[in-house]
Amino acid sequence: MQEFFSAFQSMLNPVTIGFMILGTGVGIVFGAVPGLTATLAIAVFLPIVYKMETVVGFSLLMAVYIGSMSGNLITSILLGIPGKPSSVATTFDGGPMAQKGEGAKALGMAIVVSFLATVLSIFCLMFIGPWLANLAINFGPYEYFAITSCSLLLVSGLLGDSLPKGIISAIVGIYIGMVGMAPVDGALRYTFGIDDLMAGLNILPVIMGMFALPQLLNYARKELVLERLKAPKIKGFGFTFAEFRGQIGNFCRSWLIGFGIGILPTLGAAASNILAYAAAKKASKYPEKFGTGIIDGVVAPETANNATIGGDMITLLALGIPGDGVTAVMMGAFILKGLTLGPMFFTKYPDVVNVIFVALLVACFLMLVMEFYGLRIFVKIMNVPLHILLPIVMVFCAIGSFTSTNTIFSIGVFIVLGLVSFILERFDVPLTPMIIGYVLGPISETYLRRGLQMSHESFLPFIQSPIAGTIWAISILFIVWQIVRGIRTHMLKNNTNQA
Amino acid sequence: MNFNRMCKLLREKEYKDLLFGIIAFIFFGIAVIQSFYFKNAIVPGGSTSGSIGAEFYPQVFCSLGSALGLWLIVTNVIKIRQKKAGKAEVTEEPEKSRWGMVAVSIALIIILVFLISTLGSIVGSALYLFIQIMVLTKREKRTIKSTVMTMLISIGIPVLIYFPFRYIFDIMLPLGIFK
Repeated sequence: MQEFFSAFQSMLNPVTIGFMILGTGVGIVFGAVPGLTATLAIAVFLPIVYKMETVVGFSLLMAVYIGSMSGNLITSILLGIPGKPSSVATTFDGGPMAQKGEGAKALGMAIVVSFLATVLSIFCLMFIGPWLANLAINFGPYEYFAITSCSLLLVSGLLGDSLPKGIISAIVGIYIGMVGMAPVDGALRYTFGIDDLMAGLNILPVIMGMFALPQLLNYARKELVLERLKAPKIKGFGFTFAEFRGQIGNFCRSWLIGFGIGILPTLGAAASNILAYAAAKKASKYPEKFGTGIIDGVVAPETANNATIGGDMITLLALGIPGDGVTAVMMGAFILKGLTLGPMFFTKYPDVVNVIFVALLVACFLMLVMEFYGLRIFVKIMNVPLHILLPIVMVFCAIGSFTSTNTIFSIGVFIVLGLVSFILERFDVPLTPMIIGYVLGPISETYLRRGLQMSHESFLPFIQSPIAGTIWAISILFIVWQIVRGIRTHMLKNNTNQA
Repeated sequence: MNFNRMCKLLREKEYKDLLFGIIAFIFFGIAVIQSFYFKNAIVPGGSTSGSIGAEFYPQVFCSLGSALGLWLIVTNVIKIRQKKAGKAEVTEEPEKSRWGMVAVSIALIIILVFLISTLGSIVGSALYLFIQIMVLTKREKRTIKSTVMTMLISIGIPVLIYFPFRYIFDIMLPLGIFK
């Protein structure tokens, strides 16, 4: 508790607070504008965080994260289009509410429940994170290899509509991570005689290339035409206390769904918002009203998608496993700063841990205030056309890529990775497994080789360990279930066609 | 088979997946072959530590990638044959894509690399921004006012990026002609 307050004190200076306000604001814009993403927001700030002092840098990063995860509610409600997978369900009732003239109520409620859900999940992070880290301290290379490999397997299998394509995407990411010197023995792999590749591909241009360039090229291919937004005037919170009290049950259920899903690697806000909406509809006394513009249909997804924040951060900090693309990119910041995530993170870097906790909480309050009072400004920024915003983001990313190694070669890496990602998207290959493969691949290989050194090159201990064996069993069952489900869907389709 | 027919076929999921499978099979196949030539940097000319070395992971995953590519080839060839044997081809209305715009944007981003390395980050970025924004702007919206705004944005943004990076974060950016 003392360290928590001293972290809070260290952040109470104009520079840190100023950067946090900037980060939250930019994060909200990136979260709100279709065509920009939370992942891109964090990627764009990575070069800046890398060069900053740790407290300021991570405070800024957490502010961007919180802002970008909650910003999507603005377009979901005002425009009725999601822009991000994590806010799909919000459009089902948020859009109709805005059309009925209840946009202020929808926005007000969404902002408040987002705030409450995030704060609650961060408090859980503060208590569960260290507990999980203590549990994981006894994990060795066999257990870590199981966790990292199974996370990769699950991400590949559960994202996208094709299991083979998801796994290939993860393998592409692993391949990119293998370029350069191998762990343990330093053998050169896939360098093609290019000296610049000997140190491997720096994480900054890789991440920015994967997420930034495809956005520009997708816009160039199919121009996204958006209506001009108008910000409704919110009086007070926009809703009554009675309306809020009526949503407490919905909030609690949706929060549990969101937080639980956040803890599981691979599933994230994209899954939680839809599951929470479905659960709210099923539990409701008036399910037929869902989709027509009722407040329940806004509370459920917005609570769930923000509750996943704490769950995602728990697995990231305590186990070093990113739960989705956003946390995978955030992991890049820790790698750049030379901080190893995992159970030892809480004991080795308690000051950084407390800075992260405090920054997340402060960012929540900033998000609440900025979304209520700054809504008109955000809407004005969001009305800036994408054909101006996206090239600006490109320049930022190109220069950010340059800063990673101070060589033009990094900008080349940014372009090549961007083109590869764009081509993969054209083949309907999901990109999230690729970034997770890139981040987790080298880590999982290191654990494999260390484990093999310990076991004198026997693979048996990797499955004989009870924890590792259980993790493998659960993951394989999940994948088998996914395959069986795919076969059944295919057979059902064939039967329908024949009928 | 002419180019237009090929493009039309590639809009269908089965042909797209077939092509992707072929690319994955070849790419990862080459990667597996390359893995047999990895040399240990710590023990030059020698094999890597133990019997499982740096080549193990690439061989496992690239073989898996190649096998999955082959799986996609086989399953999609079967689907295409079933589709041809079944009902007549349904001609879908092609979605309108501006591939020319994509090609120009790719060329511009490649040119950005040369612009930054020769002219510097400020001038190079300004030129890129101006051209890219004008290319993406609809023809009917390219007025004098919008062109002037674009020029101001193109000059202002690189300057706004340069000064904080250089003087706050102490990051040296290419100066180019200002060296």
